[in-house]
Amino acid sequence: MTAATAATRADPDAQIARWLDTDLDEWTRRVVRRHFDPVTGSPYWLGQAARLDFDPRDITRHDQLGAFGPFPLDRLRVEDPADLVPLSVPRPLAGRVWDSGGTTGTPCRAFYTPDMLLHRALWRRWSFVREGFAPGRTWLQATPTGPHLIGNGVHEVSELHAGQVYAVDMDPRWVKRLIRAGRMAEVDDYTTHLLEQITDVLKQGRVHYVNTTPALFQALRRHRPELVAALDGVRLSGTQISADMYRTFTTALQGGICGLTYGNTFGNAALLDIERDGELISYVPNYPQVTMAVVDKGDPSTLVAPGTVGQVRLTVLHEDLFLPNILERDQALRHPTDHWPTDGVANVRPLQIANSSPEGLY
Amino acid sequence: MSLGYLFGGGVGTEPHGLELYRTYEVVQSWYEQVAAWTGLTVGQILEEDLPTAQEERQSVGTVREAALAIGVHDVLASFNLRPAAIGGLSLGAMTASCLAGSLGRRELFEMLASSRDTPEPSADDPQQGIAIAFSSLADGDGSHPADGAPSYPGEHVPGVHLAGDFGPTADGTKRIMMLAGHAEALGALAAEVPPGTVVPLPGRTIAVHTPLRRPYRDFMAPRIDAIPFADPEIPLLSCLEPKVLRTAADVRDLFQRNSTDPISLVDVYTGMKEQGVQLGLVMGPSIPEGILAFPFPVVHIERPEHIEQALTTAYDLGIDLSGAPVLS
Repeated sequence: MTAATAATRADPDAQIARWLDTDLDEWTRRVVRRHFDPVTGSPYWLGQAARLDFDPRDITRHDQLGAFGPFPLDRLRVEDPADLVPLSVPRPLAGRVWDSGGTTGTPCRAFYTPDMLLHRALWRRWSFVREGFAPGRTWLQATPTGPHLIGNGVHEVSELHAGQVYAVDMDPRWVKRLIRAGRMAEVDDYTTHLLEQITDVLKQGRVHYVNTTPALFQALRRHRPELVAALDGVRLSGTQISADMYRTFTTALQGGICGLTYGNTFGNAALLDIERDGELISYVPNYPQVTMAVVDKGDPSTLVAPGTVGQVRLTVLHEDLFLPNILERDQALRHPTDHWPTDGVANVRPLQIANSSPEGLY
Repeated sequence: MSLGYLFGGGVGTEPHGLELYRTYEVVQSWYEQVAAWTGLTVGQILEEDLPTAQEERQSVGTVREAALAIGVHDVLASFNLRPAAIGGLSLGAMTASCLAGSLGRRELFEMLASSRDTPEPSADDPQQGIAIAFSSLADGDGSHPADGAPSYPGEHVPGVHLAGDFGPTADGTKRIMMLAGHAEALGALAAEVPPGTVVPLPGRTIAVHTPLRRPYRDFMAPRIDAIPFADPEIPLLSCLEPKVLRTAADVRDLFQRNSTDPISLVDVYTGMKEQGVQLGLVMGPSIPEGILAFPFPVVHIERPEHIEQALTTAYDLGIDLSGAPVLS
């Protein structure tokens, strides 16, 4: 651990404050120039530079990143993840390669340097504190682990939030494979298998908080409501959560906290607000390394109007990983807020593309 | 958490359901059954050009749409997905009634097939038509404050009727409605209002869900009277008013009025929401994806990959599939 890293861990709130004070254009220049430095840049981007019709080092503002166009995520299925990391990070790299979900095929892969992991962990801790999760409590994390970054939350909780953590592993790829094959009875069997492990931990009465997926928590609520009611809170990560689900969960928790997060392997957003009893659920990205825009579904270079629906466009601006303009398979409301340096997103749902004009309604 | 099945209205002229037919045996055997009941061939039901005569074309088109919608239902049922509430628009309301157990599948398809014998309109009759209308939601929800009825372009124009209310668009900027009536009046209205506000639909020559369909309603009335309706086995939402249809008489009344009364998707999805629906599955292509706002997540199913999407979404939302009733 470097001296700077140790200092950051010692005062995580001060680090968050510094990030929120960061000028986004200045940060953009810093990250882009780092990745395109002819000597110490990242091999992937240096290889791309010759194909661009502009010099990336001329970019001075965040809103100029659109010039890169949508990032071709397929490249992350075949590229060496190390080639996305600047050569200024000493070789050989030592650390973990993390996968995207991989539920629909070959996963995308990204190498996380220690600084990137720390960034993610500090924001996660910030969310915990903001949502009311007390330090020093006992957690059960029932999420994907293994290649999935969400599994790193076990360490994040224990190291940054002084928590004791039990863990139950779930394999989302197996679940989705069963679903694809229509083997729904086996999906139920697998869910039961997970619930048995979860209840085995919870019934001892030592766990305050659960971190899991909305689907698994829904199943737990249905099968063992008394165990859910006894919790002090739940933190839900992963797929969509509807207003109905949120209300169902808060009712079942009987006053316990229901914390939420939105994101994936490349970038996350913390819960900002829950308004109108769950009808508006908003998130803000882990600034400045992650920004999110809501863009026209047919023209990803154009932002939609505030409060209207569009496709989520994610930009990753880590010093050690640059992924501009990832078009997510999600849609959301564009949610500008005075409480954040950039736009937030709200009411995230799977992307729906109009496949007909309104004239096709009848 | 429960599932709602939504069925759209209208009669598509394009082939629908080919991929589902080729993928699932349960769909193949279902189409063969429909062919036996209706006297049509599987090819006619599935993909061949529709007849040109107006009422015959409408009849075969309704068989095509209803066959696909029930085929989708049967594929989902083979994966143990079943609705806790059901409803639809126009033809979709009748399909939903059938799947709610209110009438047999054979009775539904024989009724649809028999409608081909409806007398064709006289050549002297004024030409009928349909238009899609858009009203801005910038100043409210697009309804009259007094009674909540949708306000629409051409509201007081003779020969123009409100035939359907599809509710707000997904982006919340407009409300979409269907107007029907005399084609000439609709054309004049479209020319008079701001461009894009009223869009006549080419080739649609039946003023559905208006009083102009009275001859069809009268022709079909005895046939509908002869159908042995039963009480729905699950909540069945009306598209003619905000109402859950609970009795055989309710369903018979829907069938009788369906051709002349305006329809409302808002009534259907609001009713489903009140019944606890938390995921809607739209059966077939008759309600296009991504255009309309729904009060719950929806998945549109018209191709095999959508079946997987529906199963995945049901899993992700933690939908309880264990307690849904088995339908006939």
